[in-house]
Amino acid sequence: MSNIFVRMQEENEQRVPPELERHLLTQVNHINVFGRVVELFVPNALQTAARIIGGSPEDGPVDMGGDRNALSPEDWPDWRFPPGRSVR
Amino acid sequence: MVASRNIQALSDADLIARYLRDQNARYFSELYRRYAGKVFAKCISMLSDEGLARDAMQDVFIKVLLNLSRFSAQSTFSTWVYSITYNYCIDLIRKKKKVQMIYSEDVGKLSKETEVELPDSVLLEMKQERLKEVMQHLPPGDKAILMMKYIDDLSIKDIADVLNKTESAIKMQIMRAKQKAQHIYSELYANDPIEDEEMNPNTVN
Repeated sequence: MSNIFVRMQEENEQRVPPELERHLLTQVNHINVFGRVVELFVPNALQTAARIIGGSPEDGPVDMGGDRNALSPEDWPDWRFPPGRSVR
Repeated sequence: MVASRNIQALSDADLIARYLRDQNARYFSELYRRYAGKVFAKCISMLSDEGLARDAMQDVFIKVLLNLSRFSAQSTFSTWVYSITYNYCIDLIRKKKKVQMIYSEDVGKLSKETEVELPDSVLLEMKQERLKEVMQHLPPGDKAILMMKYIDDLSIKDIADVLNKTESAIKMQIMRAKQKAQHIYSELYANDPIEDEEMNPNTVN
């Protein structure tokens, strides 16, 4: 048998105003739309702002594609020599 | 279109994952249907005002929505939602009602020797109407702790996590909340023996 606190909560659970769900889902949809708009326009707006202050798209980070750290064993640096010097 | 029967069969974790992936409001709507009643009941008990409870419930669900991606499966979704609810209500009471005293006494103020552990029956054997009245007179933090213990059946550790306190502080606070409740009860109903007769029918005979 449930205790008196649980019974009290169960009584209050029945009092949820039904219109609240509609209000809330409207808000949820607005938030989703706003999020999509931000996702769509903010990167372009930032790029435009960067151009206005003298930058160019080439200055930004370049997507190398794939794993940029994946070097073949032949290209591994030789730890025995300082950078710029090699036995080969 | 997602069939509603399929949605109802999904677990909370699946609903969250699918909402984050598809941004389909129907998944969030299902989460709302599962927890709206419980969140509203907690808001009403904490705030003692239906209008405030409505607004609080909306705000709590918006908070849940905006923080869904931060939810980690370290606790259950229900515990996470309830922790947002309790903390939101405590903050609201602090701001709107200008209540300074969130807990009955500062934890650690009194030594452990002066504390007396009261049995749970002190609260659980009250009549519902009287318990409701007593709860309304309790400080909000005490109310939240008692609800977490007796309604949500949370462990001391979970309550400590929700309220960002230590486990020993929570144990002490539960003890004090029960004492405070008993004190309020005896102040409100000192001259009314009906409760005792109804609580212990054997003693009447």
